[in-house]
This record gives sequence, structure tokens and C-alpha cells, in this order.
Amino acid sequence: MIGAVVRAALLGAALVLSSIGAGGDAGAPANGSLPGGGTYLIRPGGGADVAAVALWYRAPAGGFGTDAVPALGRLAASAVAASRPVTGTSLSQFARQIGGRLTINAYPESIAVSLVVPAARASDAVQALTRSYFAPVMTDLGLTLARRSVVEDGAIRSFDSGAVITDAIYATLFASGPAKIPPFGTSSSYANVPIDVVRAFAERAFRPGNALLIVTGAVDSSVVTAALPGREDAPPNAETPAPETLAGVRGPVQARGVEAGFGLGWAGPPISDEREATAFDFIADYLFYPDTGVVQKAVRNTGSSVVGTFVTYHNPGVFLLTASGGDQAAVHAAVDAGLLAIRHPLDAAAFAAARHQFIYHILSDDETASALADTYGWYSVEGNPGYAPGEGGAAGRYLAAANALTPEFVAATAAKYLDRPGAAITISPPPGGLPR
Amino acid sequence: MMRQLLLAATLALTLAAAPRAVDLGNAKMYAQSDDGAQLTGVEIIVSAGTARQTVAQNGLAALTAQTLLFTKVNGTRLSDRIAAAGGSVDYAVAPGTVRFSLEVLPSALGSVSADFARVLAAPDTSADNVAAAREAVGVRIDAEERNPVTVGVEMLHSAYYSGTAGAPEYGTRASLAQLGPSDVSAFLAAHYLRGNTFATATGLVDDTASAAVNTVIGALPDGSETPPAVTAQAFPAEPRHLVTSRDIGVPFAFVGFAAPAMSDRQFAAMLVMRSLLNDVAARQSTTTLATYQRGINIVYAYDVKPATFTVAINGSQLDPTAGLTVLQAILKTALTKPLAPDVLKRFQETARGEWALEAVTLTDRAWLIGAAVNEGGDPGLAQSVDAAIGRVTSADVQALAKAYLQRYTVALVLPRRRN
Repeated sequence: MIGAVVRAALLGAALVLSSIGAGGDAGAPANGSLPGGGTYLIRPGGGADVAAVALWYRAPAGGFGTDAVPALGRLAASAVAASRPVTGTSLSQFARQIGGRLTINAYPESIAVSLVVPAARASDAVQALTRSYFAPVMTDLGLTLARRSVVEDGAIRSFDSGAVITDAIYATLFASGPAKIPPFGTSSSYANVPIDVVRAFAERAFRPGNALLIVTGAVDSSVVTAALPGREDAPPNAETPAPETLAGVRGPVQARGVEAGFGLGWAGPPISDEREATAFDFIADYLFYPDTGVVQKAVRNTGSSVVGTFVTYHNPGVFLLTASGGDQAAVHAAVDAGLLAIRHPLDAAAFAAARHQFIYHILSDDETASALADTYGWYSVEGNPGYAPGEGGAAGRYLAAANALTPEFVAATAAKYLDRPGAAITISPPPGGLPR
Repeated sequence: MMRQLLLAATLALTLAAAPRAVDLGNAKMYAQSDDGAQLTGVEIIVSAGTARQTVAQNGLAALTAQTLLFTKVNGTRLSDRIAAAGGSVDYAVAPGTVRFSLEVLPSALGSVSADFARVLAAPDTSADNVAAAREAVGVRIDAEERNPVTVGVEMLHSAYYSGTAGAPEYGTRASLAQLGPSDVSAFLAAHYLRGNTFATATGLVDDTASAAVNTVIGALPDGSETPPAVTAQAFPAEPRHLVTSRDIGVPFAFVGFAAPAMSDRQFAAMLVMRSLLNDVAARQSTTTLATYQRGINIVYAYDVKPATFTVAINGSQLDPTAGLTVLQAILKTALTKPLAPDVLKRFQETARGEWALEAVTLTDRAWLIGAAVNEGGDPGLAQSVDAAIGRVTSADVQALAKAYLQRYTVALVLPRRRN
């Protein structure tokens, strides 16, 4: 699963290639190659008369070099969206004018630019997205707007205790690699980044060969013909996953935050281990899904905000939880009890109910075109599109794995990973509390 | 089973067909089936909203709905039973109705509908259950009180609607404390009637879904009532000013207007006006701004007839005084000068897009169908709005402004002073 943390921020190398237009009948799913390189994935669906059009890129959020700039990816993607080319309008203006919704998300290993539009404007959206990103234009005004936007996002996030703890978990769990670099950063980290650096990142990250175009909703596969080819001089290949190195055993980390809290994180199975990854999705759902998770129910009256999720990365995945505010002792007790209990097989009736809930949550979370596009984009860019929930129906690999889970396998998988050392973060508010 | 679990991604494109009316015998259902859907969304709509309350019963509609969800079946609350079966349930209270929103795995429809029917047939109105429900509604009230927008909109609704139709959705903690098991029992007996109820359904809607809805509504006693009167009070010539304070950081200002409901002729023109107002005060941004990042937000409650149109000015983004000045200038222009053709065309385009994105989840789509039916309109009304927006003229917008936007009420929600 993408994970609640990632989805809240919102909310394929292995694709089988074919040529444009050869994807088959209107309305059928289609995969293929884009004219300028890169790949596309079209997944038509019924329901609301809308389309989600997204470009996903494998690109470290902090940049490709050794001197990472936190939030560089977000800054670059935002600057391109806000920059007006010599002719026409910026992507931001296009979205606003047609009443669509434009979002940009940067994750440790990827960047996503997504438009949700009326279905009748899906081709226009494909054209506007590919025009903006396949030959990116970056103006001073666009970069100024992007800096403002990233500063604002970062400021808001700095008051999100869960997000602060999440960043600390990643920084503790990893010794190096994209996951160690926070995708937001602070304004001081990117305020003075020269436009040339941002532009260079955009030209490498957003080149057509590195692109994955996802279209879902009330569309047919012909929508892909609206994609523009982009720059001819851009390297045609896609980026390969950057290696992530775990830090190994480390003691608990203390940090300051706006309120008391704690976080725990472990390296989990890679996306290629579908059985174990699905088991961890189940564990996160069983313990931490809002309202229904057993830990969530236990902490309902504590005044604390608890989030727990498994994030299906290329390698390794990350299982993490954050708890902030409220009665911390009570939350610690509930979390410890939950993490201990899940190492033992659930009884058959409880397991059956939990799996029903899990499958319902998977389907419900992906019921809109935009959510489905996010899921396809994530699983593709992390290297296992065929495992995306939503792909292949009941015979698809994700739901098959979910239906094949057993209490014993879930417990064994939990014990296998959670018995290993992980990251432990404790957040304390400043002495005397925050100024009012 | 195979068909029920097929994913949207694997099926041929099937756009949502127009909702169709299904006579279930026990009640009417309006269904919009998506062949690619994997879940079934159902709304059970009961004519038991705030307008059915007396002044002394503020919050009773919500308390009753919550009591039902907390009623136990085989020792487990209905809401938990539905979750364990693979689904979810919630409720929303409006002046005319209470809506129960169900979303479930199709394979769970049988057990969920049987459970819901048992609860409707034998609700637990014991003191303990009502007390638990009262606390749960209280938590919702607390959340609403922390949100300045809901506070402002509720103030305006209270001033706009006559009688209890304008009462707050969940009541107040003080009013709930006065309500007990006998009130809930009497409310159920008086208003939870088969003839007061209809359903809408979206997603995978087949014969199993129809049977499930029939089972639920069939558990209600026979009978019906005249729909409650939901009427508005006339605006005085001079705008009223309402002021309150809450524990918030910045002031919020609200301007409340009467507005055409979804089934009214001028609805499409109001959507164009909404797009215009949304845009003029919006700052430049790289991506679509979240609600809290916008200086002006519109809350258009077109699912109630008569409807309301509230302009909310967010003091963290825009000085309320400046916002009110801008709004007055726009309205003055709209009243005196027709929109230029290019301006009209631009905001028609924006309005069409915003409307398409208005309701995309199963629950929201089911709500929209229900809103149209409840207003006496065609269940497929939502699908005709795009074309109606395209037919809006500058004269229509000007006529709309004259009919609805000349009189209004102002509400202010200010930060509470601290010693």
C-alpha cells in the first residue's frame, strides 16, 4: 500500500511495452511507450465523469548529486508548473481555468504531478502535462511562486507533529540514499538555490524517457495520442532506483517538537516480496487504520493522534508509526500491546473480520480516479506495477495475496521484521511549552 | 462473485448511466450503476432531519441516528458489525432529512442489510445506549465548534431558516443533555416510517443490492408524513450582523445569501457566479490551493430547498474588511454590468470543471442523486448541469445577482479574548 502517510501528502520499468494506438479497443486498459520515450498506462473506469492524468518520475526528492538539497524535487516540479511558456498558459493556469485540480507530491524516491479534470478535458490535460514537463520551461516568476509555495508547505508541515516524527524516523533508519533526505526540508535549505540548479534537475528528472504517464477514469486509450514528444536531445532511458542503505543499530533519538510524541520505524519487505509486503499492509490496517484499527480504538479517548502505515518502497519497505499529543503513556501502552499481539496468530474469526476490513479499505481508498492513478504511479515507479492494488481484478496479484494471507503467516512476518532493530524517536516540547 | 470483484481497471469503459428509479415494493430506490465498480454505495434517506425537531429537541435527529448505529446485534454495535463485514456506515443530518451512508463489499450486502434491518426493527433506546450516543454526538459537536467555517455557516443558517430547520446539525452539548431515551423512542416512532424513506445507490448495483435495500427499508413500520416545511425568513433591508467568538487564531467573516437550490432554474448561473467569486480573490499559486490556503471559500448548500450561498473570508489569508469590500465591489458590478462574453465563457468553463469534480466518490454521488429527488427533481439532474452551465447568459448572471445577491447577512467569528 502507498500508506496513509504518503497518501495524506497527496490525496514502471517493468511495463510491457507496445506502440501507441496498438493498445486495443476504446475502454480497454493499455500500456505502451510514449513517442519521446517513457511509458504510459491507461486504466479506464466507470463512475464519475472525470479523469486523472498524472506524470510520475523516479527522481530523488533531494536531487541526483551527493549534496542533497531537501525539497529540490518539489521546488523544480512546482516551478515548471507555474512557469508560463512564450506562448500559451502555465500548467497552473490551465488547471485553474478548466476547474481542474493540480497537485504536486515529492516522495523520497519519486515525484508526481497530477491533474484531475472533467473527462471531456482528459486529452487537453495529457497535452498540457507533457508540454510542461517534457520540455520544461522555467521562468524567474515561476521559481518565485514555487519557492513561496514550498516555503508555505514546509511551514505548515513543521506544525504537523506526525510529519516531523516521520522525517526523524527516516533520517534515523537510513544511513544514506534518498529516503534519508526529507522531501520538504526547511526554507533555508533551498531559498538560495540558483535557478540553474533547479533547471538542471528538472531537465534530467522530467525528461520524457524517465516519465510514466498514468491516465485513469472515464477515458479510453486514445487519450494517449495527445502526449507530446518533448526534447529530442534528452537521454531516452529511465532512472534506476537509487540504493538505500540502512543505518543499523542506533539508540533512541531525542528531538524537539511542538508537542510530546514518539515514533517507531522498521525496515520491511521490499515491493518485490508481494506476500510479505501484503502482510505488512494488513498489519498496518489491522492496528492503525483510522477508526477501525485496534490501536486506534484503544487510544480514541487519549487525545493523541496516531498514524501507522507500511510504505511499499523498492527496497526496503518501511513500517512506521507516529503518535503525538495527548496521554503519551496510554498511547505507548496501546502501541506496545498491539505490536506484541500481532506477533501471534489472530484467532480465525478475528482474522476473517480483519481481512474483510482490509480488503474493503483497499478498494474504498482507491475508488476514485485520482486515488487509482496515485496507486498505479506509486507501484510503477517503485518497480512492481503488476502488484498494484487495482491491477488484474480478483485474479490480480494484490488481492490474491490479500486473500491468501493466514494468521500464522502474518504473525511470522511481523515477528521477522519487528524483532529487528528499528528507529525510535521521542519528541519533547520546549521547556515551558511553546509561546502563545 | 467473480463479477463482483472485478476491478475497474480490467473492464471496458462504462460511463455512469443516468440513475434509474427502481420500485422495491417497500420503497423507491434511485440507482446509478457502474459496471466497473467493486463496491456498493447506498444512501438511506429518511425524512427525519432537524425540521422534525421542536425547539426543545435541538440535536434529537442526530442523537437518534447515532443511537441506531450504536445498537448492538449479537453483542456488537451495528457500526462495528458493518466494519467487520467489510464496509462502513455514517450519517448526516440536514434540515429535511437524515442520510445513512453505507459503502460495502458486495459480498457483505446480505449480512449488512440484515443487521441494519434488525436495528431498525428493534432499536436499543436504553439509557446506556442513548448516553453513549450522546457522547459520540458531543464529540462531533466539539469538532464542529473548532472549525470557524462550520460555526459561521451554522450562525447564518440559524438566522436564515425558519424554526428548527436552521438548528445546528448535531445540536449542542447542553441541548443533548436534556434529551433522553423517551425522546429518541418517540422520534423514531413518529418519523422513521417506510413512507418517509427512499434510497439511492451507486457503484455495483445489481439485484442483490436492490434486495438489500428493500430489506433495510422493509424493516421500518408502514406509514408516512407530509414532508416538513423548510422555509426561509426574509432578509431585512439592512444587513444583519451576527458576532461570536471561538478559540481560533484569526477572525473569519461570512456573508450569507439566499440561493437557488439544485432543482431551481437559476442553479447553473449560481455555479458560474461561484466560480467567479472563487477566482477573483484567489492568489497566484503553483498548485490548486487547499481550503485553508484560500482567502475566500464558498459554501453553497444547494441540496436544501431553499438553498444558501455563503462566502467565507479566511482572516489568515485575507483581511476580512478588505474581503468584504472586494465582495461588495464584485456584487455591485454584477448587478449593474453584464459580464463580458469572454469573461462569461471563461467562468462557464471553470464552473463546468468544478461541477464535474463536485461528487466523485460513491457516497457523494449517491448524495447528489438523493438531493435532486428530495427537491422533487429528476434523479439524473446532476448530469444535466453541465449543459445548463453552457446555456447561461450574461443576462442570466445579472438576473441571478438581482434576485439573490442584493440582501444578505454578515456573521463574524472572532478569536476569543484571553486574559
